[in-house]
Amino acid sequence: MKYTKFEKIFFNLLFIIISALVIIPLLIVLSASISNEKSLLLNGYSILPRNIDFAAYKYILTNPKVILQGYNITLIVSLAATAWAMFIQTMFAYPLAKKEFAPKGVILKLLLITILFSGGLVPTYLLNTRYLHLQDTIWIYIIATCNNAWNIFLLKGCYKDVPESLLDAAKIDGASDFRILYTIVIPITKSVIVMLAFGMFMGMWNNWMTSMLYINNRTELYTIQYILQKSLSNLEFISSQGLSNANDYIPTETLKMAMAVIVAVPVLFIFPFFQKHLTHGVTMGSVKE
Amino acid sequence: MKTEVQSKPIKNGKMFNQLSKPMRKMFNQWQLWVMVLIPMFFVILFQYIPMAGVIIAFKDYKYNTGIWFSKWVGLNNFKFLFASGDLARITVNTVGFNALAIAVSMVTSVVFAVLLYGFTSKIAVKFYQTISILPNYLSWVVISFVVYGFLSPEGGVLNNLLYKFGIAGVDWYSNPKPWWTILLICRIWHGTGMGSVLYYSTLLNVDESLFEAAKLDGANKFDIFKHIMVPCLMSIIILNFTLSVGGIFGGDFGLFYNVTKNSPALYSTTDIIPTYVYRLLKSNGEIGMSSAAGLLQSAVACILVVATNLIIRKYEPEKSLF
Repeated sequence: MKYTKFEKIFFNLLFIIISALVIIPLLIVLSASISNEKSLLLNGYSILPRNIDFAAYKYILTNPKVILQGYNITLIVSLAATAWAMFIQTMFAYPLAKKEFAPKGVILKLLLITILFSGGLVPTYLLNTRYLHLQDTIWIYIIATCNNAWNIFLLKGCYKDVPESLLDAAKIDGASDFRILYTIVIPITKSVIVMLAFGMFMGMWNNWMTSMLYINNRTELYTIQYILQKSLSNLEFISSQGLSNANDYIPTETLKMAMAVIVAVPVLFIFPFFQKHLTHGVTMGSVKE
Repeated sequence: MKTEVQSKPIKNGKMFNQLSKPMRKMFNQWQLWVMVLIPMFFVILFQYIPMAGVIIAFKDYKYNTGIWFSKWVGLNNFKFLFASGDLARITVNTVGFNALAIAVSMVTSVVFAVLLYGFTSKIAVKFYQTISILPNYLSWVVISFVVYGFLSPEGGVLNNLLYKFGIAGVDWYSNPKPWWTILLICRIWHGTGMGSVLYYSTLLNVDESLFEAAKLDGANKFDIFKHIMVPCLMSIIILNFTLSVGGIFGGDFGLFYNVTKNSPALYSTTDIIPTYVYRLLKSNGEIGMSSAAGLLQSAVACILVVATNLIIRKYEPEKSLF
């Protein structure tokens, strides 16, 4: 099913064009961020920058407080939420993969129901704010998203593929269930777990809705994406809350683009390293023998 | 191999032996129970309790009376929802766009995976795949900036291009008509790469000898695609389809809220159920109508997934979800 020589040339060309189409929109943002503000307003957006000018980035470097705080919070929250979710999910799936655990049928059905039906925004919002008082705290990011039925089903399937002989041998040697989980099962299914963890981390990193819904008064708890979104409508927000003097020249358009670049770039550098796990984990998770 | 947990008494001897067999088993499996009960606590707290909260849709919720004591108003919230005239618009936008998006993105993802499969060079595959997945790691907030670079009324790439051909620019953010196309393009740009990963992995697991045999029998590439690849991908496609159908009454809030910059001028084509529910809740404080719309969304989605699954179960039993 591999390509003939002629097809190779054709499809390589096609995919190069496709890749260019994927990248070009990002280049437009990048070149706008390093363009001269006046030039941008006059000539508009383009793939290549016209008058290269780092004024936007200079501005950010002199007003870094809000952005750094946003990065700080986002990093902490993403790591914490991912760690907590992975802890809960890897633990949850283990008994569900064991034949002799009687309640597993019931629990799997309960999890299935959470996939089919959810309470919706209003009850969740009321629960989190009125009864649990999680608004304006850092916990709203971390604890609520730990249970993902899909991940748990996936993990359960992977755990089942672990050879029983290993588990029995460990049991005979007197290992407890917790010990077996953490020393045998998890190392074997590491690829899938890394894939899930990375997905979760990215989800949290790109999260802006939680800030929008639940953080009203404590602006230091904003995630970086929400700061970015707010700056679209309210650019003064990033100029360190009140310290901008009247003569401060804010290169608005290029500044917005520079902020987008700063928010997006770390992600783009990190993810290729995890891609190996992604493809491997998808294969492991989907092949049902 | 059954472990003999059932009848093995442990330390406390006599007292333990007098417990019934299931109780003994439970004690011996206490670690498994801990592993299950801690997460179940959170499942019940964050997922089942809100499910019970749909009762708010049938009440006139007031902050001071809370959920229990607010007045029961039956279907009044739903009546307001229907009477407001919004329901038709948001339903059409939601279901229409989602159906379109499901069909288009499924086709593009499968085609992308199939075309990618033909490359022999691992470097080429890795390169193209990495680049195609890249947009998926950007949040819709960032993407809204990218779209702005194209659609900005003053200097956006699109309007600049139109000027070059002597056509007046369009005020994209005020004209609702082209937005289904715009949002669809965004969806494809964002999701095709990631969506194709699963299909591509499945194709990698297909037995090579099948292709050899087909070639010997005189099959051309198209036959191979139709008779080998598609059947192999079918179960994944059906799985994806069933899940997507469940989401047909929802929609990517991030996409519709950010890329449109939540511009009211565009609501006639870009207001979907999730954005509507959110706006009603946060901006208007209309908890009653908001929860009614939310309940409708969850209920219809549930019915659709179950119905789709039943239909699939009838025709291809092994490929159904549950």
